[in-house]
Amino acid sequence: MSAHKRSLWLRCYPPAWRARYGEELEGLLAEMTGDGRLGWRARRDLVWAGFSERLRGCGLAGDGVPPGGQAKAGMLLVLCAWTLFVVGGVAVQRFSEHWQDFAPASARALPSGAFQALLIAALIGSALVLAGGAFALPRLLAFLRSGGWSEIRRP
Amino acid sequence: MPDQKQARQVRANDPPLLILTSLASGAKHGYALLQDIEGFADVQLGPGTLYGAIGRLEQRGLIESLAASGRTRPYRLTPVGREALEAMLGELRAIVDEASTRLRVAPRVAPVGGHA
Repeated sequence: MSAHKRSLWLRCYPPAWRARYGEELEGLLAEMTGDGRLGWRARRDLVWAGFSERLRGCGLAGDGVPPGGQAKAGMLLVLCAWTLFVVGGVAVQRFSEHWQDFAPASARALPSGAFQALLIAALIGSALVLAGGAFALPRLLAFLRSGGWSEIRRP
Repeated sequence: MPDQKQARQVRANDPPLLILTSLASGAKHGYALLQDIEGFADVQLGPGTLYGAIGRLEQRGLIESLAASGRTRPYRLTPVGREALEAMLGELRAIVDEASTRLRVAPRVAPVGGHA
């Protein structure tokens, strides 16, 4: 495995984590693979671990983050995802309505493909919003149960 | 008596437990840890899992890094890490002892469809 490919795998991790452990992990990958390829289990492991570290970096996961912090970060994620979803949805609705009326039948392949891509993006966006909600809700409830409401109301 | 919530969190194949166990015999770097763990536990940790666990253990002060040689950096158990490992083993031992006691007391059951 080339040094370039190893450094690409390290991109899964947040910069702060790479600064501390990146060189060691790259050295480990070099020892594990030699000139060969990285197995699919190791690839999946790297992607998942990098994603987890990014969640930790954002304060969405980790033992050191109190439930209140996790709830706030989760709610912020849901709010941002929902805003993006609504803005994108309005834009699609505004600009793509009745597009078939204005495109000749011979030139509909590209717009049709683009519209399909938008629908897929909307589905992914919906899934992200639902995942964010599913992530944030238990933490929000735990936060409120531990007396977080008074903390929210405190100026 | 160990905290029940904590006891539920300890599993024999937990990466932190495996790493602490491996480091109990001396300092090791990442690749040596992977090989050692595979040798004594028959568990293949992924590179991401290994360094994720190393990061958290180091953050909690259970292990510490030594001077790097090239791209590898050995880690060793701290006194706090040794205590944590002993506590984890105590929790696992409690489950093993309980299972052994119950197996001694419980009557043997003939296999389904087999002859007693």
